[in-house]
Amino acid sequence: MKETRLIMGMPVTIEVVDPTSAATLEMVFDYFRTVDERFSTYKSTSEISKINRGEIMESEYSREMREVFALAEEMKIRTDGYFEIRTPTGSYDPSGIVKGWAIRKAAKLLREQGYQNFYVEAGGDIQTAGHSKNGEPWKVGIRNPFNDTEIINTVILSSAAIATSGTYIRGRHIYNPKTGREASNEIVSISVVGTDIYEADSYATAAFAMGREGINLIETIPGLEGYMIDANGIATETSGFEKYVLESI
Amino acid sequence: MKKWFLSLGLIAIFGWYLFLRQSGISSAQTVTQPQNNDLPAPSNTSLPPTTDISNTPPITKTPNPTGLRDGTYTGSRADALYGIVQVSAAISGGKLTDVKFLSYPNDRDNSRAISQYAMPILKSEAIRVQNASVDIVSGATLTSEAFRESLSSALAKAGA
Repeated sequence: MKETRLIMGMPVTIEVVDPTSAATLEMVFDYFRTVDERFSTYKSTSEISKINRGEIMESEYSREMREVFALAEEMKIRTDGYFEIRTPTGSYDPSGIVKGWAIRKAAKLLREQGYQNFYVEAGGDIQTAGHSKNGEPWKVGIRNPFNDTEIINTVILSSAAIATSGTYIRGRHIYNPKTGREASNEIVSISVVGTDIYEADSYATAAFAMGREGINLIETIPGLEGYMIDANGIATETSGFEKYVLESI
Repeated sequence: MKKWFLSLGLIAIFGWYLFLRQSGISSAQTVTQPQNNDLPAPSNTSLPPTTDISNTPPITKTPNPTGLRDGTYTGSRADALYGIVQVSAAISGGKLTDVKFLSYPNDRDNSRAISQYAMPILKSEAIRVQNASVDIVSGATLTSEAFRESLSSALAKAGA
């Protein structure tokens, strides 16, 4: 059973291969909705917005908020500060960590219910489990950053995860959705594959921030492989990436 | 007449400075994210341009458009899962230009820098469209705005 909902400003898709019910999928979507209610900086009623307005003291943070802050701190140390949820204006924006964290939790919810074959996807980041309905590992295409109707690589994931950080490209111009202006960037996309979506997601974010050197960051992290595409359409992969790649015939 | 030219000159310089601040955004900072409380770009909507100058942090010595101070910043030594991690970041012209791992996990040479050719030469090739049928597609989409780029502590130290 497969369903998609628009939550946290992005499509969230859940496919469960094992026999299941619509209620089960809706339970997981509801989880994503609570994450959005808590962490969306776009919602003035969210916990994070209240924190940023100084309406909640640290001792009053919810358990989930504390967990995300603690993880952000750990990731900050691991990347020596490349990961920072505090913005220059002093407000907190944990969105760079929440997506992977939420997908990981959603997958855990499904495993706890006994499901072994499924995937959870939010905005192009995916955690898989087991196999697809064909009985085979999940085949995941990597979108062409220059044409979102095309795929330029395919990886085979068996209970593995993939996260892609990138910019949205229109034609030859790189469009920055935040500023609405063209920005010239060294790289347009980096996909990170590993066993855990939270790790893949966090490092994909850090790597993308580094530009062309980002692929080297992934090369140094055991258990993660990466595939980076630059503004000229040249892809660079980490030395172990091929083990995930579907051999095209 | 002279005073008028002087005033016009000052206005022109001020306008040019604002233009530089508006456009001088480091690629390391502002790619991807449409969230409104993003990174140090001076064109961030939280600060109207006309108050930029008076709000410039007094500690910023080099007035790079990005607000980042040039220099090399060493991060803390961190005990990571697999070993010690420590990086040094170089800011030049207000942009992050180099990152060196002074120490990182695995059994590699501690002084190896990310940017050095001593790293394995990674395979590169032009991307090609594939016709494989897939179960799922991974890609940064226009709607993945919830995802924000992470800041480096070196950028923060540099005045981000």
